[in-house]
Amino acid sequence: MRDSEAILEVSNLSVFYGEAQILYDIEMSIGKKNRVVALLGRNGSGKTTLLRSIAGVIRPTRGKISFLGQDITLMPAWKRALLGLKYIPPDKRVFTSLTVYENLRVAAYGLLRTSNSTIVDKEIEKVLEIFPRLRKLLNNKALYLSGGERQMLNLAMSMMGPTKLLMLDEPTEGLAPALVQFFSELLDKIRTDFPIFLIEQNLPIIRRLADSLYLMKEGRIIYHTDDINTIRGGEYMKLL
Amino acid sequence: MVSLDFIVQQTILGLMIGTLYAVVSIGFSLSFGLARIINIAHAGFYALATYLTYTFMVISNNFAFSVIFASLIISALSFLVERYLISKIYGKHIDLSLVIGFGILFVMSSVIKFIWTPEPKSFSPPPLLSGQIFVGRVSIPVYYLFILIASSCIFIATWFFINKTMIGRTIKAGIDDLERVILLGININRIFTINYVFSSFLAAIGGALMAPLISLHPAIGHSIILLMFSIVVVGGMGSIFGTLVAGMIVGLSISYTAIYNPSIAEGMAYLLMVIVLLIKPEGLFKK
Amino acid sequence: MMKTSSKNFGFLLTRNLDLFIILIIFLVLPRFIPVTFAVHTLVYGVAALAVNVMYGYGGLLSFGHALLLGLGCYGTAFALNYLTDNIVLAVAVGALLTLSVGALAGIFALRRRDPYFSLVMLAFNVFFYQLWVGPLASWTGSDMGLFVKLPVTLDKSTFYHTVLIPILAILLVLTKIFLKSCIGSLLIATSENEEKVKSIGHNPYVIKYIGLLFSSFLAGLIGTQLTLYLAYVGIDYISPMTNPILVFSVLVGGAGTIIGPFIGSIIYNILNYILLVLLGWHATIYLEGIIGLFLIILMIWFRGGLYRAIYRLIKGYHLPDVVR
Repeated sequence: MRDSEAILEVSNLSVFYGEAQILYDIEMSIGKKNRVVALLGRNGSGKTTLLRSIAGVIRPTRGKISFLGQDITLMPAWKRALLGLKYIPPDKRVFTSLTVYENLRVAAYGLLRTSNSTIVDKEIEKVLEIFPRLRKLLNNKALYLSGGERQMLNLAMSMMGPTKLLMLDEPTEGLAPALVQFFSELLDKIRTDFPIFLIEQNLPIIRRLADSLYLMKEGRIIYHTDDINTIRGGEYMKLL
Repeated sequence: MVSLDFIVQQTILGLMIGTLYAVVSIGFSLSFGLARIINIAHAGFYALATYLTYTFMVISNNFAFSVIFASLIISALSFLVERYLISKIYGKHIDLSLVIGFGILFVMSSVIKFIWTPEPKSFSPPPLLSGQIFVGRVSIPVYYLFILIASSCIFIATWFFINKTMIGRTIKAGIDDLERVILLGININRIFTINYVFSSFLAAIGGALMAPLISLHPAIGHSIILLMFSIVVVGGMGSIFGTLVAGMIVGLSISYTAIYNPSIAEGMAYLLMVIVLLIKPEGLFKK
Repeated sequence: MMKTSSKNFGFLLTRNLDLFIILIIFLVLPRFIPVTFAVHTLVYGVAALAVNVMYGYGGLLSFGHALLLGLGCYGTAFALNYLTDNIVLAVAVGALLTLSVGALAGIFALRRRDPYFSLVMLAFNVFFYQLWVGPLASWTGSDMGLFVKLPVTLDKSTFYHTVLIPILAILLVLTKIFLKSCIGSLLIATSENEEKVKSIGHNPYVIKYIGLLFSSFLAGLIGTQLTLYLAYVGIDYISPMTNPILVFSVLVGGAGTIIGPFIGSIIYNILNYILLVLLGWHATIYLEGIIGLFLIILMIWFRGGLYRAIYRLIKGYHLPDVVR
């Protein structure tokens, strides 16, 4: 993958937690031609740690991360978000003491760097088009939202402002089938706007959406393909 | 038998001192809620503010000027402390913040001893706020009423800042989930600084307003640490409303106990804290 | 297979070098400084060690251990003045008083994590201190202190060498045994990962509680000896203002080591002495601030303490966080 095509390049990435090594010399990249890149692996294989390192929440011990040609290895996480590198953590985390509208405003405050209400409200309107369910809930405290609603809010928040790469960490975990379907279709729609790097345990979603695949085992990348059709479902389970 | 008038007086005293302590304690609670630090230096800012107010009063005899100017100086100082000392320990083990906080407090105590000498100082409220008013047979110092009004205003302003401004909402969001806020492009260093300076400003104003009521000595910082902590334990860390109510509860328990035995009055606050720790360790108003 | 006794002793020596160093230092100290100074250094050293047991090995920093030291002192004083002539009984009373209050404080202080522990211990300290100078002043002597009727008078130097040093040795050995024992290891494990300890079936609360009891015992017992030596108890020993000295000693010397608190205590007393010599009574103005500066510098740049810094210099590699 040539530099000019790569949106994200990770080289030689190692992460330690105290004395324990979690990631071993990870090499991977996501380029303009990728639409949805899936990351599969057993629990504890280091998938979330990898995404968190790319997001900037964890500082790697060794290695280099490039985003849009820029070396972001030492860049604080909030600056990465402003560059368009968006990470949505697992567990549907929203700000429970604020209302849905306030959640969105905080997101706009961060990602749009403005409190100008015209611009903010326009952007909020944009995400409400994608998640109409949230419109009725604007004045509700996020604490009282259901799991699916929280996840919608979660995505709505992170999608504010320009996005160049969206990293999702088990976005459909614990959601009812109808909602899983909804998110699946949603991701299908937005994949044309920017690449998506996705950790998922739900194999049918990966089948449907992903065109590239990375497999992780015990802190290492053990398999990679840019055409997911070259490998059958049963086979990658065996590799894990 | 204790007279009703006396009880009413002590009630007002308790409420007054309680709300003032609560003003001083909010910042302590916010620092923990957002940045996960036990900001003992807070007590030092409080102490320094009382002394600065005293000196400005001696120089200018203008109470409003003294209070405001002292608070501004302390805020500026707290900005430097946050940027150069406190910021180095964010995210690290919490007892680092405890020890550094005490370190800063000790340095400030020494500075106070050096500049003002260890001899106790005191001054009276300005003439406009002196004297008593009589409600029936109960005499209430005018200054107490002023404090009640001032503290209420401060609380309302704080509530407004935290709940109705974008920075305030960001602070609330950060208290809920710091990592999530970072991932939304918020510069947390800036938010931490604003939170810290705001907290210190409140501690300073609290101290400045408290100054005419107490005898100033270099250890007043130390004496307020546990009171702050008791209030925050009883009210729940990070809850503004909780801090206010807890402040009043603590204030009242001190003033009522003082009716019977002044020397253990403060100890009652700690007893209260200990009871709350036993029954509901997260505090009475934790969400 | 039989080990020869000389091999045994050599082994004992290298494994417990730190204890021998401490004992030698304190044996030799009275040659250079007045005995009373040495006694204070020793007593604060042990009290700091008590703090260190909870902090360096248990992960909980107590800001109220002066209470435990003071109760040991006052317990013995009360016993000798009001109850008995028997020294051993008086020491037992002092130790028991300390243990009871430590047990009481532990119930509340350990309910939540540090920093609650730190400040609840401080709260207990302040509470008792206020009792001491308030309602109980007539028994405690308050600021003036309490003179103690000793049934036998011992020459200070003799007392130091025949009683204090052996007791120091015993306390050091007990500490080693405690830290190396099952409960000590569990305490360290709890400080590192409480969930893991719970998942293997232990109760972290009980573990920390036992740690606090042992820590109280150390502080209380050395307090009893201080009273016997001085035939006097001062309010300073139970005052909350003494805690910074103990915390300072632990941090400067090196938390998580046995020798650290003693190094710290020596440094504090040297510092105190120098300031007194240089500034006279003005020293009190600066001492607090200097300790404060030290604490700040230590926490930001030298978290390991002096012992670790020296060790690193000599040996070239780092001491682990927990040294037994």
